[in-house]
Amino acid sequence: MGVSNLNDEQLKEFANDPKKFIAVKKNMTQIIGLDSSTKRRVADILQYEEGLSKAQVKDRISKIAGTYETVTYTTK
Amino acid sequence: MDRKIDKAAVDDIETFIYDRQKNYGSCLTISFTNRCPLKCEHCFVDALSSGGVDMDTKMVSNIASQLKDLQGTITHIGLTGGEPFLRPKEIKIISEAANSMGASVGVVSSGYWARSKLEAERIIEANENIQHYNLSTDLYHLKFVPLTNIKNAYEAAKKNCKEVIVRFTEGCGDSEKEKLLMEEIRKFAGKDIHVQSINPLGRAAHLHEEFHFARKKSPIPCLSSGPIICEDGVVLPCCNGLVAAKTDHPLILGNVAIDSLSTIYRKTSTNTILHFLRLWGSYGLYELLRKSSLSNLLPKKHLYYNPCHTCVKLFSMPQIDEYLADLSMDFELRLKVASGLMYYLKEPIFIEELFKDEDFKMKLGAQ
Repeated sequence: MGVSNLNDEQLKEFANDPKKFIAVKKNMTQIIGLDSSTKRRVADILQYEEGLSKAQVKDRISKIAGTYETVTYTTK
Repeated sequence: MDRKIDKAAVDDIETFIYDRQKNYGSCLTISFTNRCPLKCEHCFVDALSSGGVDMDTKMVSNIASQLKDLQGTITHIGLTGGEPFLRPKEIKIISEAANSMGASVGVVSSGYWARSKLEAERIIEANENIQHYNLSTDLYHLKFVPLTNIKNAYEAAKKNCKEVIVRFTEGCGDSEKEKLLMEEIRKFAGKDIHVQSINPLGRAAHLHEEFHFARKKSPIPCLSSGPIICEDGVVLPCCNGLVAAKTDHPLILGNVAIDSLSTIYRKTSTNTILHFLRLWGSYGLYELLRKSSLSNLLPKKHLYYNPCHTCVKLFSMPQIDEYLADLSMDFELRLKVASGLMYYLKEPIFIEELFKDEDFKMKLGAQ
């Protein structure tokens, strides 16, 4: 994976309009590679701790983001 | 990770994360001092009651005069420390400049100054350019500042139509006492409470609390909303634990004593390692390093649910810093990060800058 795997036609498209080229998922995948280091792990976030509801996952994320949202759960 | 999960839930969390990641730089935090009249055992900034570093008032004025150059980019200024209220003149300089260019101002404080209702009101009325108050309390803060101070400050701020959050740090050993304290806070602050966890860094690294470490890494990407200018002028990408990493790492974005703020912002928009973290987190960085010759240096366990702690641990190692500084100039990695920023976070600046660079275009052509 990576830019070296693009064919001549793709390279031309990429050079002409990189933003348009990247907007296509297949092209993005080819450039980024989506290996273990370059994968957005959103599904993993949902599964990181068993038994948490979506709202609880959001609370956890907010806690890390340090955003000014109010929280409703008690400590621990 | 093979349990079947709902695609709609994944999309919802992706949007939730995106909302926190978009507009990096909209919040600029400034630390005027790392002095603090308290000496809490869990302070990851390692704030000092005596000695310590103050930001030069001239530097504060310089930052204030440059804020207008970033009008529309910076929409919120956070003041932190140490204890910002030890520098009232500097608070005034920055908050006036921020408000006049349309940015709101928030301050994080222990409320040590709110000894009475009258005193709390006097201070809050004197700081008309501050719109948000973050009042820190927990079992450690309570050893220095009584809860009545927090109540005084909270009520005075509300009376003056300010937004107020009580920042409560959990994990201070005695969970029963913590619950009782939380109930006391709820009596006056209701739901205006933000709970955070102790980061075992700085002074908190020496605590005797039992921290939950696990083999699995947190998959949450970097959620920083913008950089911090430290009291010595160094600019770091977040006001979290990186402040505790005292190494020369590739996440040092600049120094306001050397470069203008807008130059630092412009350079930051193409910082490979920072945006790598925003896309793929310390999890991704760890995986990248695992494939390198430095894999033996990597921590084996990670603070539960806390990607920031892993990040700080990685950037606290000079060998890793050196390796990442070199890697940050790698053609392939820069392209991946610039493309990821465009695709996932809709940020075109990095890719636009890459394609302005003739060397880059030549390398692309040579592929």
